[in-house]
Amino acid sequence: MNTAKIATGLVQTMATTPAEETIPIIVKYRTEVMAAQKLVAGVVPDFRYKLVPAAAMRVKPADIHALSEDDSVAHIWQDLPVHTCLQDSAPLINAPAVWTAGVRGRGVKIGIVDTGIDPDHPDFAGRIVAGANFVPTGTGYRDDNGHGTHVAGIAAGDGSVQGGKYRGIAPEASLYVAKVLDASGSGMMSWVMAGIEWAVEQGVRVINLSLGGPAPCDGTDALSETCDAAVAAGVVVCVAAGNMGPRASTVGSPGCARQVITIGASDKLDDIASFSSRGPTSDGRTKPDLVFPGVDIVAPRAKGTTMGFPMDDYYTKASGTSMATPHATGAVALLLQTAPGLSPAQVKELLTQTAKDLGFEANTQGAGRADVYQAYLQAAPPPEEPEQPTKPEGCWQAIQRALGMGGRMP
Amino acid sequence: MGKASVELLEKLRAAGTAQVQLIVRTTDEPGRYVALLKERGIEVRQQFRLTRRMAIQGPAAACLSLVQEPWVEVLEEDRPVHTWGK
Repeated sequence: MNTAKIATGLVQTMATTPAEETIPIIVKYRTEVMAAQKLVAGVVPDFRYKLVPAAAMRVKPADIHALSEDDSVAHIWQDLPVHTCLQDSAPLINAPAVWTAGVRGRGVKIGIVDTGIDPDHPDFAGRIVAGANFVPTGTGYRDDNGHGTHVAGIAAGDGSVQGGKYRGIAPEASLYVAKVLDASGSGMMSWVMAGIEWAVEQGVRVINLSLGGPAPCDGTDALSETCDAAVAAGVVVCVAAGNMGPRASTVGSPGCARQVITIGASDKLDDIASFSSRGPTSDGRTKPDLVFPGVDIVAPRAKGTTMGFPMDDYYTKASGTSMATPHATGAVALLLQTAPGLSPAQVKELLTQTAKDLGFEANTQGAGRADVYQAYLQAAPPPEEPEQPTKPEGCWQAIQRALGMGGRMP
Repeated sequence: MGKASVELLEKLRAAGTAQVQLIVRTTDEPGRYVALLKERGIEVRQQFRLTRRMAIQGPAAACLSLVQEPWVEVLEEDRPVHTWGK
């Protein structure tokens, strides 16, 4: 076995894997031709790559042994699971640079209109100000699905369980939670509308809606118009575009509402997630407005729920425009702490004008992937001009003033 | 489109006495029409304040008759919504 070609971790895995079991690996060949032809007998690769001469496959330890001695093989890695922690997605949108400036959402009220929240999760300690239930069969706003807790954590969790590793975008914001979806993650438009009204009445500045209905739509349905009315009342509303991509015209209600900020999903490589719904709306408007990271996001897990892929008792991993949207909501909270007088339209303009163009068409990426720090720089008031110190009055000026004389000092 | 989509009108005609859940937009303050709806056996489940709307539930035939009312602007289904993450 040529261990020089095998990644260290893989050697250890081979040592503990029974001979008949397979290990997922990525084999890099010396030439592209080899990548296409030189494979392990009887093994169908899962992927053959074009950018690098490599292939992904699952083989037995003995096959890895043989591959390492093949001259055409350059290197062998173990194919490891990947995920995007908030510790990855928050820097991607430049949130930590805003935190460094002392802005973490303090004093900004965020409305989470979703499946509820786990009020005992330490990442929200002392910051859930109010909650209400709008599910007819429900009794309280405790999250019995897990989605709302995950969403709230991305927007405003402080990551305290893991020492800040899974910190949300606005970790000092206040949370107002409306439970409008049941344990299965479903609800009716009217429940959501009631939750939005409640949040507006609580005085929230931004509402997160990681939910939606069938597409396409033109923004005139009851839920979309309710969202627009919330915006007219001065509240920024961030809405998930939906997970019906990559087909065109797959943005559903209320993502098709005119005044909301509709959020699509990107990944940590700044590619657009294939599932992210695309515009246009059925009346021809461009959507989404922006994209934020929404693939394999690790964030708070509600106790007793299994939504996503639980990592431990406190965190779970999930994907969707549902996960992209609270990144936007948190970003909005940072901007509103920075400049409380911003209108919803100004917030939307700041985020879209400072977004990074990823090179996709507008109905796929909107303005691009948001850069919160660039938006913050635009929103931040300019530093105050230092006051010119007044020159102390001298003896001669005092005499002139007393005698009512003008003129210059001799 | 009139006050309701063709699909909804057909659905209501076919549903007869079955209970349906709709959202109605009114020309003015929705609260004025709660009693009128109750007389037709239609329950108001929620009155909204951000827009002139009510969530209602009642027999399909009774709900269908609402399109004739001058105070009814739009009638639409109260449709399901769900999360966009997993």
